[in-house]
Amino acid sequence: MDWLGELVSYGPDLWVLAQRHLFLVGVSMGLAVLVGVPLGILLSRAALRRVAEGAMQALNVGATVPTLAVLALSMSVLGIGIAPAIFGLWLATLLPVVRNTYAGLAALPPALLDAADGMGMTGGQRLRRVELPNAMPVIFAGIRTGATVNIGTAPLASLIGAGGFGDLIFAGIQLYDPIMMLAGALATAALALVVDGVLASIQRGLAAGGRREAAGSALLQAA
Amino acid sequence: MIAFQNVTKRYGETKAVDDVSFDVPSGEICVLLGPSGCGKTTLMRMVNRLIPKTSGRIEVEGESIDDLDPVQLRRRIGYVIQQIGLFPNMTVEENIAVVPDLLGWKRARSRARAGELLEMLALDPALLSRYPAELSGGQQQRVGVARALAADPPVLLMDEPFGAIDPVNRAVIQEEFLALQRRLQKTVIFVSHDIDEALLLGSRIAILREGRLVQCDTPDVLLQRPADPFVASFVGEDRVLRRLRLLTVADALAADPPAAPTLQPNDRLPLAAAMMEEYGQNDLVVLGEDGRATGLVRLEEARRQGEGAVRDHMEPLPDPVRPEDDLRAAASSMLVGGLTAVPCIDRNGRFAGYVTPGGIARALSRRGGRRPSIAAE
Repeated sequence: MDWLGELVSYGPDLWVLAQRHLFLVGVSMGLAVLVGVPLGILLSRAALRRVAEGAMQALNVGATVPTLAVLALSMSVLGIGIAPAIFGLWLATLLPVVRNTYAGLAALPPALLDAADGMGMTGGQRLRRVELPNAMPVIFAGIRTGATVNIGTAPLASLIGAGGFGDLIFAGIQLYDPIMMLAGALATAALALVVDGVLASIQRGLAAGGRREAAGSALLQAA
Repeated sequence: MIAFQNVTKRYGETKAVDDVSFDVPSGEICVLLGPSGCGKTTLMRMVNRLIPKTSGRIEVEGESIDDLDPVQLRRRIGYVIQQIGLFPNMTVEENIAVVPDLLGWKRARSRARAGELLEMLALDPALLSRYPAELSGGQQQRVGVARALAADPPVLLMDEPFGAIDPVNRAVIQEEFLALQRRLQKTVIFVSHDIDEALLLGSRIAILREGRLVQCDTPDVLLQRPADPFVASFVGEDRVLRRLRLLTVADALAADPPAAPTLQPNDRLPLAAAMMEEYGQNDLVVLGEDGRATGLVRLEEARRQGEGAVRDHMEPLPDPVRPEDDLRAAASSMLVGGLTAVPCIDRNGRFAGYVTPGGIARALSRRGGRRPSIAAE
């Protein structure tokens, strides 16, 4: 049972590293949502539909660039530390958020939009009252995917000096200390599960007791 | 009142709607009818500017639609579509209150209005707090109609609103809508590809073909005098039978000689047989002392029995035909009962005359027909 005691001994370190890890994740996620959702909305507007597919392709290609490479590239511009790490994580998370926002809005049944227009909603009213609420399950799924990717990628930030659970993982690799490595890895996985659980319960809350969720998934099937 | 003047819609070289002019008088339902791709939906959607017209003029309640902001215009026009388009994220109440909310009504007023409309459409008020996904198709479309009526617009646009509902429920909801329309007297443009629906609901029917208006008339005129072979084939080779639905039993009675022969319970069978032969009928009604019809004697029965009183050989009346029934019902009784003269009983139980093949033929041959517009009823 030695290894278990050793694992537990990382407790105080984990607490400090968790704060940094959460900070990186929180800021990069927050920025990804703040930029990604409006971008997805913008691309879904009728006037931009023509360029939207091209933009989504560009984002898809961008997503194939390994996050490690993105971090390295952003380090060469922004130097080492927190700023390039947040930039890299932001970029990695942006894609699922934009893509799901766009896809969720584009997949709404045309009849819904026709009804909204026909009843005399302005573009903004239609977006707020009809489009966003009904696309919310898909948009939120994108945010959850993004969050999971983000938390899982965040250990790489350690490589450019931004800290987080990556410190334990990479130190463990270099020192060939599996317990240290495991402590960082388990903490990362646990954080991913907790954050996803929190986001899931927020989603259920938004869906008003599951009813709207049911309506939303019926909508997706119809679409 | 909705007026179309030389309305045209072009997509590139093709004309989806080609120089269409006609009026829809206030309080009437005008059905736009035609095969798919004839431009009927395009024509309707130009009224609330969901589709911009290329040229021509459309007036709603005396105002050109070009003089109004599209959003303001649409809030004054009820809109119902086949796919219903209820908002899944809103309760039934919120769905119905959408336009009142857009118009800035006080919350209490718009919610009260939602309840009132649900009642008007024969829906359970408990549905107010439900979501559309929890409703049946028929209920959803009733809510769709309620939503269009919420702000009490003078004009309704309806795009095949009952097309996706199963036939049994469709017939029910059509009748309900007619009853509602008699009370509300909206000016309605109703797109349909179903001739039966058009004949049932339309005060007038506009038939379109390849973007052109071929004929715009009352249902009866349309069936009786189709403008060209296209209209004739579209309304159906059996259009004479369809007209039976537009004419009432009273029409056929009025066409008959007023003195209809009847029997008393004490009359003898030979007299009955002689009267039937004289009038060319194979049945006669027996009237009781109070003048009410009590039964029916058939010619074959009278001949077979030879002697005896009518009272001992009459049979009960078949399901009575009433003066306000349509002639299709009378023709159906005629065929089912094997009668050449179907007795018609009025609301007070009194015998009102016979519907005979001759009477039906005369009613059908009269020009113009009677089909009252909904507004006139």
